[in-house]
Amino acid sequence: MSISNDRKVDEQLVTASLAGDEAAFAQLVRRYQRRLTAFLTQLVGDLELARELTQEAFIRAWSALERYDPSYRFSTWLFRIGHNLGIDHLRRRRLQTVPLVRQDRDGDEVEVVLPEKGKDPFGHLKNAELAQALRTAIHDLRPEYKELVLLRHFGGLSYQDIADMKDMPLGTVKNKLFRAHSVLRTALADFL
Amino acid sequence: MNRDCKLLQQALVEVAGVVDRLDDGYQEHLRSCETCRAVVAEELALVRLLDEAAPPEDIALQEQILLTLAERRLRRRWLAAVPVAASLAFAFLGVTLLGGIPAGGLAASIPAWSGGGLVALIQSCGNFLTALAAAGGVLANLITMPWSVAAAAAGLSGMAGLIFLSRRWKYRPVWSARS
Repeated sequence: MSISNDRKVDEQLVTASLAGDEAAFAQLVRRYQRRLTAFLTQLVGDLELARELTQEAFIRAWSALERYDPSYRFSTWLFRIGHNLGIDHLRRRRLQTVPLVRQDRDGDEVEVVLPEKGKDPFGHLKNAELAQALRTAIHDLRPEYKELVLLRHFGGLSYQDIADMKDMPLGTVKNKLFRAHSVLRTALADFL
Repeated sequence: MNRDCKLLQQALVEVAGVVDRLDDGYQEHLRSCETCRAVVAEELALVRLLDEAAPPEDIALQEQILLTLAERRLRRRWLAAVPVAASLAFAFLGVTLLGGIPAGGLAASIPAWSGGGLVALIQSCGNFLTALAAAGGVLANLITMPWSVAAAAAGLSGMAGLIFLSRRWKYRPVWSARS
């Protein structure tokens, strides 16, 4: 389905939802659940938590649907809600815990991610070595690269959607994603 | 990496490694640049890997979300009725404090053709209201004017509070497009 078609379908579903059609919002949930959970799983590093945040994001979107600005795509709006929830959670967690740190390739200190069994964002991957490599490669990305990679590849947003969501020029999004991919290709060279 | 290579590789990331989606100029460059051809293969593999890394569709979660939404819808409907219920309660309080409804008048206004059953029903309602009115009269005698004003103010504040709480629940601020 093309991006413009996709957008049209979303608009129709939002309009129907606002008119009280419960099935229309259910369809929006089915369209975006996987992508939103995938994005949030990478953002917060915990599948179970990402599922909770996904649910909360949909409920908030539904509660605030009357205030949705149709000049933005529904997906951009929904991901923004999810993103804000994820960031809020990370901020709260940072206040509550003392992170374990290790040194990355450049000698900088980075937080060690210790996924719990059953909560691992890559738990569904059969190749444990690949899962570990991916986890490390994504985690080691610079924060502004990581966020764009997550929105693009796990959230499935277009470059334009990302630019809208991040209030960033389209060229900057392209450039940052290009650099992020270069870093990922190098980090995951053994698996490519 | 020269400028052409950088431009091509940037475009390549944009089209998720699918060469067919590149412009002719880029494809021309690709035919003559071995480095960029290697990047194409790596980029395709990277995109495939990232696709696989996304968790699969979660039907149980979708159902859970829809169930929660159904509960919220129901709760929203109930909360929407709160201001109406509060208004009715307040109106009843006001009428009671003023001495009650003249019960006889209501039954007398029923037309004759409506039948005895309806009249009986209205009369029994009237009796109930008479009893309430009597209780209200007693209350009105017991409660002096300043207390009546205080009760009215408390009723109004309570109603305003309920309306505020119900609206706050419905419109929790979560997102601003320009924030």
